[in-house]
Amino acid sequence: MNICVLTKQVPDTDSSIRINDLSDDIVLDGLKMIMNPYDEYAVEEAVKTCQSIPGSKSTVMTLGEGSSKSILITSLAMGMDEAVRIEDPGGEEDCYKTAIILSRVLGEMDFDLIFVGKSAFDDNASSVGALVAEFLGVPYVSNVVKFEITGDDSLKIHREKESGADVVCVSLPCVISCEKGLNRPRYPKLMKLMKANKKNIPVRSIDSLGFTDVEINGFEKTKTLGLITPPCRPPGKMLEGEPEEVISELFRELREVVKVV
Amino acid sequence: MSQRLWTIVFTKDDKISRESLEVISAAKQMGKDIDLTIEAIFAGHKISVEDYRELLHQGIDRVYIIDHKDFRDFNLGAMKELISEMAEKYSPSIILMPANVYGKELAPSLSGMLKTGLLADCIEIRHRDGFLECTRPIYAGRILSKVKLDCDGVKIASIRPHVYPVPETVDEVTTEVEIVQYNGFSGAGAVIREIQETLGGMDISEANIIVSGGKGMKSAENFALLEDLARLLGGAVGASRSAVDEGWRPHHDQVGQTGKVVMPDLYIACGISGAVQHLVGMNRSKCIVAINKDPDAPIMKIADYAIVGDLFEMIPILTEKFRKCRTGG
Ligand SMILES: Cc1cc2nc3c(=O)[nH]c(=O)nc-3n(C[C@H](O)[C@H](O)[C@H](O)COP(=O)(O)OP(=O)(O)OC[C@H]3O[C@@H](n4cnc5c(N)ncnc54)[C@H](O)[C@@H]3O)c2cc1C
Repeated sequence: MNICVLTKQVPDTDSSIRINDLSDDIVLDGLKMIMNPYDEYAVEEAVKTCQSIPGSKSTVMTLGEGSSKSILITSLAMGMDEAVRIEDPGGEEDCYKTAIILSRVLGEMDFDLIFVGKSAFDDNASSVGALVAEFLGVPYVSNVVKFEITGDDSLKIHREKESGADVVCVSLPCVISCEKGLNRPRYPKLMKLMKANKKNIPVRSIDSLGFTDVEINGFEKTKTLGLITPPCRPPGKMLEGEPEEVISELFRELREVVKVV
Repeated sequence: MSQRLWTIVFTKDDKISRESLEVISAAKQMGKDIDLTIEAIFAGHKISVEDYRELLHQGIDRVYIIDHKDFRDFNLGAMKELISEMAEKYSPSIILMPANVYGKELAPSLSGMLKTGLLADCIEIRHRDGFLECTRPIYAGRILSKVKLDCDGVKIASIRPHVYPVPETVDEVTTEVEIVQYNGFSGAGAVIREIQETLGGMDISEANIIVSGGKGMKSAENFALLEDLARLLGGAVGASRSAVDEGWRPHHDQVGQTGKVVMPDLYIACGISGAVQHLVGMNRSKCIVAINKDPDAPIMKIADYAIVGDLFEMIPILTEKFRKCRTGG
């Protein structure tokens, strides 16, 4: 079985995210960059699946600038076999563009299964996986929390939704987006990180994929007009003292002032 | 000339889902700025008028009914095929749908199929100078981004649930009903075999009141305290990721970056420190109460009422007060 994982580099979710002076991006200077948290489930599931089926091969891929090599190294240390980085063409970050570039590379490969994370911490659009599936002409299932190979070319998976889960049957090849709960991603061991660090990671340029600049421009369907910080909440009240008194006051406020109950 | 706007309707427990009605609100809001013909697409199996009557009272122009066995459950392949066939015939300008789990599968798939742009998970959508423009949360809600669609052809957007209100219904029915034929999906796709409604209580993202517990609850059993209070208030119980990771609560009750985003009228956070990944899931609640031993916990800085103290002392007193008030004591 040939398995691919699509991943991207994002700021650590603990870091303080600030908007730049032009209000068109965040300040990236000094931010710690990590593998998008949901992608860890994708890598783990790919590694696990490969281990369970002899003769399988796993490839991790990212579209990103040079620094994003580090998440590919992490993936290799977690057990992925191969890694590819596609050089980011710059310009507007747009899901459609990202997906069409990724699917061009995937189209050159022989794959049975593609894992992606449920959503990316930075863009939150949850769209690239579905778009890639569409461009490759294969089925897509999102938010997968349980994954089972039931036959040579079929899967039984659980898609988590607002009120429970759907048990879904789907045939290979397909694209699966991974939700928390699917597995427990392993930590890459230091030894393995050191070994992965030495591995040659091929870089694909946009030119090598046969896209012209005009085409790439045409894939940018959206334009960011500006970023804003969500409005702050007005300061609240701190209530301290005897539990009975404090709760009496809270109870009164909730009923009379807030009128929520 | 009037532009055609479509809203995609999803059902939940055989009823039209609240999110789908909220999308109609978003459409009507947009209709104040430009001349729109608003039409809803309702696909299902063995449909009776009762199933879609609610749509006839939303003051929209038309409802398309598509009755086919492929639409008994959500079927991404069939849905996108149906809508793209219909789009070819009717040339809509805009397609809106809820950004729930199904909508987040359908919207990007359609955008790929129709080779057009998508605004995903919008909290506000508007039409300006001939463009579709939205505000959408990025970085898990820590930043808001204003984005416009810069493409030809039909424009697609998904609308985050529970931001727009459910529209006011109208008594008079002027909505037309049109039946559309669909021949069935032949491609490879994902098919639902079984639906597991694992949700014991209420879906927290639909609750008006949420009582939420964190690591400070110390055990699964102690959540009974919060359940008592939530039951009295007609609310639901939520949890922080730590409480979920401990196995005290199911993942679908988790609030935050890797859980649900909630916007209830009242959010009571008990023994939750307020890590940024939790805050982004609840900081748009109307009123926030935090009960925490530590006055410096980050949740205390954003709470409208920050109660300093032991939750095991405080919660029972609060519950008792509401109980008395309920029973008229
Ligand atoms: C990628 C990523 C995604 C994440 N996603 C989420 C998410 O979706 N949701 C989420 O919640 N977290 C998420 N987290 C985790 C988050 O960073 C915090 O670790 C978590 O929210 C902490 O949970 P907590 O507040 O329950 O626990 P703690 O931080 O341990 O806080 C417990 C609090 O309880 C108080 N307390 C203890 N005993 C009592 C008592 N008797 N009475 C009153 N107060 C008491 C303490 O003072 C403390 O403030 C994520 C983290 C990462 C890295």
